[in-house]
Amino acid sequence: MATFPTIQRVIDQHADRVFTLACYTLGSRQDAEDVTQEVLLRCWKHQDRIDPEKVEAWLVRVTTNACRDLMRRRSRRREVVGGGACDTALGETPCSELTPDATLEASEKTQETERLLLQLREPYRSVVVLREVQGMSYVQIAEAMEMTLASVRVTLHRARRQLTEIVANRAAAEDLCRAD
Amino acid sequence: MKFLDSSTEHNSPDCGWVDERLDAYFDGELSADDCDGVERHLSSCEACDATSKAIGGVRTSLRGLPMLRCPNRVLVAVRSEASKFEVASRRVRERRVRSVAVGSAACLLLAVGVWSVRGAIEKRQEGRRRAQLESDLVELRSTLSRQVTDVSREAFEHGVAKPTRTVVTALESSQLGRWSAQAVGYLRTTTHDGVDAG
Repeated sequence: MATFPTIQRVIDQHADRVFTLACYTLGSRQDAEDVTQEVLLRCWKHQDRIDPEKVEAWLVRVTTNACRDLMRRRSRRREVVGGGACDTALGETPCSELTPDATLEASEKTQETERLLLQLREPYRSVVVLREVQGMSYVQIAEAMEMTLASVRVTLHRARRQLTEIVANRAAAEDLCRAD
Repeated sequence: MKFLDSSTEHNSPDCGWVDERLDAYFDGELSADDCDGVERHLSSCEACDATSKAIGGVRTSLRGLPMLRCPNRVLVAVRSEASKFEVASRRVRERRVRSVAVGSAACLLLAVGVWSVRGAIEKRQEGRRRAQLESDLVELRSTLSRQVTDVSREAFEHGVAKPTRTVVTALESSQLGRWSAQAVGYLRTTTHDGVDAG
């Protein structure tokens, strides 16, 4: 069995990934920070029990569960998760450097896509983020989310169809507005 | 974002087959043969081509979402909490080690105590057993000597006294015995007479 790399390195390697997943799943930067802190701390505490080969899958699973728990708690208190303006990537420095105009345009696009993403329910949102943003394979998603490959395929299929439908409806509404 | 043309409709029987495989086609998880089949159909079916473009557009938008950088304050908070946890768990570990040491020492003492008490008890029992054995031995010896005396008496009775008595009785009851008795009687009388005359 491989030895567990220093926990500090694991956290440094995966912190951005955990934060990104939490941010896009919750649609709130503050909540994502809380969840990221909780997940990374849990990883630190349970380092002896985590298979070094499956750290990434463990982190994804724990992050999605933590996000779900938070959303459930919020829905019980009738709070809107990610409601209103999305504050995830806004003001956030992306990994690449852009010119001010391009940054503004990218920021608007990002905001629009985030709003689109927040229309999805769980587990569609997490699976889409893992596939499209994090670039994980079907097998990796299945392992991390404890789903079968068939479930991953079906979830992605439905999530994309829902998204295309939302986009089409929005476009139709915009066309109507313009016609008026 | 305008991806889906709602006016188009899926009429071909292949549309369902293609729709099931479109996601795998985009994700590069489709076999080469199926890929060819999907591409052939897309080039001939407007509706499926529109769906494909819509999905492609959504995918492009989603892929445009940036990977976010975890704020440094989160990492600092994690490290600080983790160090507190480390200290706490070290204390727990130390306490556990101390408890184990105390427990082991207590067990050792108990074992030594039990061992020594058991040794003393065994020694006392051994002494008692030895004393019992010695008294048994003394008794056995006296019994044996008594038995030896009895056996020698019996042996003398059966081996010497009884046969002698038998012989004497037989001799007394025989003719020779009677003669001898008469002779003895005669001798006694003559001896008495001589003494009286002298």
